[in-house]
Amino acid sequence: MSSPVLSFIKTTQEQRLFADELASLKNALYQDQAHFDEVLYGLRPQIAKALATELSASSDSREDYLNGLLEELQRIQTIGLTLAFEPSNATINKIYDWIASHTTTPTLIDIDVNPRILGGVIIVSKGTYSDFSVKKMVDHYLSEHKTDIIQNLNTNKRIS
Amino acid sequence: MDNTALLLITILLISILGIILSVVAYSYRQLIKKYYVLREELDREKQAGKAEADKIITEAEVRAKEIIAEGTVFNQKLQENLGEELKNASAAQAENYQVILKTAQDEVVKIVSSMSESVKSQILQEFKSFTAEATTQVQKELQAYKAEAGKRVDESIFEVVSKVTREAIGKSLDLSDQEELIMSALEKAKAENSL
Repeated sequence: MSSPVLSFIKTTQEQRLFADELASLKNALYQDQAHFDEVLYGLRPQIAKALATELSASSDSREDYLNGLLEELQRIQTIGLTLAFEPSNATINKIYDWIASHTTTPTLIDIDVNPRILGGVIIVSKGTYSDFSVKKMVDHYLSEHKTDIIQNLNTNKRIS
Repeated sequence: MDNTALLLITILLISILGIILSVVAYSYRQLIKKYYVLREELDREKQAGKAEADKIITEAEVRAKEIIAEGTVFNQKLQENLGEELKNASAAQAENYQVILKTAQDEVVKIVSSMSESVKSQILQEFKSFTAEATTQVQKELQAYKAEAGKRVDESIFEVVSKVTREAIGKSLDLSDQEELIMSALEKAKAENSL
């Protein structure tokens, strides 16, 4: 069963950030309660609130809980997506929600941006590479119709 | 010892010292004299040595001039002889060449005049055939070159068209198009069991 707090983590970038935050929380365990609370409530509000709820409800010690959460965070599978543009949070949420609703296991998206693919997406998942980029489609079309295109160009050249 | 005795001893010692000083002064004077004599001798010898060296150098210069003068004369003689030899050789060669040329001309005239009309015609035919073959070959090569050049031009134009097409399509896609393409791709991937 996945921890509810992990539902706030959608990308590998957020995964790395949250791992650092959990490490800071673990360090704060060895100091007084006030310092621990200061670090906890210094996190993003939604995550801080969810963590506080889970910590108080957990039967494990705080340290065991945080270690377990960190392990679970590292185990989440990822899907690599190469996009042609820098996605907004709204776009990321849209993609994440679609993936979450169409896959059975928790999944993070690892976004890479490459404008040369023009549009669409390149997906790397479960060891497979699927190129759905616009560049691939355009190149395929151009390659298929190369002879016709050249012929048309030459005809137009003669007419002009 | 009384004062008189002491006085006498002092006078005696002073006298002895005076004698010693006189002897030293005399010896010094003799030494100085000897030094000047020796120095004069040395100067004389130096003068004599210099004169000898100057004489040797002068003689060497004179001899060198003589050798150079002899060499120049020899060189002039050599050049004159060589020029003469070359002149003779060239004249002989030119004469030989004229003879050979004349002989060759005579031979050509003989051969051409001895040719029959049919042979002349055959040579002319072969020459025409050779010219036609060469022309065909050149035309073929020219056409191949034109085709290759045209192909290269077509490739370049196609590359430009491809580049422009890619850029135009990339720019024409707005955010909603991009998102639609991504969602469509995800659905395809899901259908292919790639997710």
